[in-house]
Amino acid sequence: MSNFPSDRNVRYPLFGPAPVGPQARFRLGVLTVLPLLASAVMPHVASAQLEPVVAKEVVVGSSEASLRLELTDGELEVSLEDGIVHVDGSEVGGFEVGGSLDAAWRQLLGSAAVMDGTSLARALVDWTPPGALQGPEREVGERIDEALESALASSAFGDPPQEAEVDGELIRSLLSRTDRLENLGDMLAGVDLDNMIVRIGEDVYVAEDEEVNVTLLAIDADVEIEGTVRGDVVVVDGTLTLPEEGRVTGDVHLANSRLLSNEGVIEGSVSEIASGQDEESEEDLRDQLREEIRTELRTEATMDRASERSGAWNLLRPFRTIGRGVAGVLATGFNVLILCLLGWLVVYFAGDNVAVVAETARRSPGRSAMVGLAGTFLVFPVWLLGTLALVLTIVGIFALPFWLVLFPIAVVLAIGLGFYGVASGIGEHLATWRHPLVEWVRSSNPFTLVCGGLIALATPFLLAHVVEMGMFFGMIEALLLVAGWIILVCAGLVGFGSVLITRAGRRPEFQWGRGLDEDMADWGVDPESPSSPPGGDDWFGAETRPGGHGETDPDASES
Amino acid sequence: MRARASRHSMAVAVVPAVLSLLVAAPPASGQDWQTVSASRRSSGETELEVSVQYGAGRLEIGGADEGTLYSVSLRHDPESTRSITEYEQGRLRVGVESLKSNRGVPWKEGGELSLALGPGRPIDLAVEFGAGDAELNLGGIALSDLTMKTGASDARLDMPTPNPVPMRKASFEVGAASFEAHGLGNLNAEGIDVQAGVGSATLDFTGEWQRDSHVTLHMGMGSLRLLFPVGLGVKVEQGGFLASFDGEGLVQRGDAYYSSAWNTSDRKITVDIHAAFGSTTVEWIR
Repeated sequence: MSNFPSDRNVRYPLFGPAPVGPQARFRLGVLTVLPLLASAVMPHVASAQLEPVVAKEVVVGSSEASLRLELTDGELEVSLEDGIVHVDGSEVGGFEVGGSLDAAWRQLLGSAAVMDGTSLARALVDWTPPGALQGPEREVGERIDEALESALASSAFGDPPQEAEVDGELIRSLLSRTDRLENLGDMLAGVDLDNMIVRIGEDVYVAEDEEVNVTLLAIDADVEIEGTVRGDVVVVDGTLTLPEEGRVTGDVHLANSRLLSNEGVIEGSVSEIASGQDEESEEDLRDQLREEIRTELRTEATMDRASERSGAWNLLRPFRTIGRGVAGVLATGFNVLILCLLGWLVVYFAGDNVAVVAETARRSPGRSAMVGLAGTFLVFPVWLLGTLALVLTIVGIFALPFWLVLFPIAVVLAIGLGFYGVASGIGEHLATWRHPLVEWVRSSNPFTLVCGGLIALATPFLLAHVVEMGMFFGMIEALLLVAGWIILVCAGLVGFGSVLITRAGRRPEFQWGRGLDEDMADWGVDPESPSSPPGGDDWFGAETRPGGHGETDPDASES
Repeated sequence: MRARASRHSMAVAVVPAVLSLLVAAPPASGQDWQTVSASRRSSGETELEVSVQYGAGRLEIGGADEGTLYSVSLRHDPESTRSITEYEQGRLRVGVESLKSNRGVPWKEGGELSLALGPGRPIDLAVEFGAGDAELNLGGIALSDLTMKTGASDARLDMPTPNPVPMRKASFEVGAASFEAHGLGNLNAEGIDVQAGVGSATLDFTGEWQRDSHVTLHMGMGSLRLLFPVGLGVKVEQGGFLASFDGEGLVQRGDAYYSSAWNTSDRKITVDIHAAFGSTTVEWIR
């Protein structure tokens, strides 16, 4: 580790390579700064060939902070978990959870999470354990550092440079950023350049017990000062960490840099300069956002115009939904009106049947629905079997045309009768409600019962169309429509079942769910009387009804 | 729409940065989130098969820079879930899965998954997403196949630029959710299949249509909004149980509805709508 040029332990760089001499005076502007930078770079950045990182995985949780790297010729895994450090699966020691090693490692992983390729490799190689570490934990930190460097910069250690080489990439990087250099020139005006140390791409650390009398310029590097710098500090593209014990007697200049942990003492002033490139980027971003907003507004306007052109009705686009809703209400009302007129005919010709069906549906809707459901499923098989039977019984062939036509008609009539029966049943409920809105629904008038029931059944559809007039209630409208159709289907099933049970309303004694009192009354028994029922020991056994039709009362077993 | 795409790309860039700050933060007592950041440089991969399985939280999928094969940032609760970032021979599996030992609440609010996919190779992308918010901005990604299944979520898909490779099929299964897909014309898909359960779906068929396409829409209960660009040849065949259809700008001929540009347009799409309950509306965008 110690032989690596950027290692922070050797990187007491302020006393490393010779500081830039007084002859290297800075002038404002690029032409003056560049040669100095080049001369400063050359002796220090003897390059190591960094192993490219193919893939990385950083995992950080409350108890774990691990790094897994996939390199071109190997892998590396370093994890700090539950106080134990593992390198490639082998335990290398312990660490204090939340201690300085843990914090420094997590800080490194925080950077590594957003880095890739060479920059990631460089960041990992440049990492060093905190200087404050002591004892076994320091050894552990150094083991991690060695593992990172041996994995990522092995070739550099294997072949120590014979002579100083210029890092071409870094020079190219600097030359491509003349805007930064211009800022640097501005920033260095008034700075003491006679005794300056320049570091590029190498982090700088001034230990707690250290006191240096220089002006420090760090580019693309982080600076941590726990001791004292008697002079100015200039940081470009990096961070300056100044803990409580750190002290800078001069000014601090930050170019595209941040000041972290500013708990120390800066006797001079702190100035920050944003780079021209960033300003340009921000300006570009603002322009881009401006252009995007314009484009979006244009698109919106175009959409509106297109919508308007697509039809005269769209001129009233905001009112279109209202118009559609009103049309829906009128259409539904018209449908109800037609059904009511038909209902009048049904009541006129089959009022008794409707009443029986309504009573059955009202008293036992569940059972009626089950029968209706079963009947619905059986309709087609019955029709088919009937057809086959007529065909097979040669004589029946003559009746076949009637069966083929009349059976479906009978089914449709049964469903219609059932539907009106259910409507009448609902009307009965409305009649007992005594609300001003439904005062006109009277039990004594079967026609009003049917009409009231039909309007009640149509209410969800009417509400859906009313909701449709609002522009943002599509979901509620859909739900109301769904509810309306479900209610209609259920009404159809209940009605059909009631029709089947009561033989089209001709057999009131088959009304399932009749009250026990009514059954007893049919049998001539006073329900209040404690005496036994007639003709048997038990009312609830299978019993032939007195005066009945020779049928078994389904209520008996059911009760 | 572009502003939205820009916001999304900014979000894709910002989320990893925020996660990195979370990564760098020292452990605090009671903190039980785990952040995972994984990436891989591209090294001559000719195709990529990506499977994303994410139960609940916020999901973002977008594009990455040229040299990147994929980049994942994930935040999850390690006590109830296990993170997945597996890559092997052109197959990437990303997401979280519930721990068998976990008997508590399987998903914790606050989880995030951000996935960025690099350009340059056809990608077969399959996303299974449970609950939460999902934003997919697939501009710049070469998609050969796309499958997206969501549960109870708010999901938005944007395809702002044309897909450079032909797509066999784009399939979306949406449960009880709100789903928006914009720029479907840029998918360059031979077929688009949308199955929506309960909720609302907005399908924007704008974009650069490079081929004729067949779109199948199955809607259980809810509202379906179809946005077509003016000039596109559109044929809609609508069938359903208790569904309303507002085919503005379409003319009925026989059992189908046709756009005015059906006979003249270079590109034609046929839309089959099977809706049980709910409403379907058609709008046109110039």
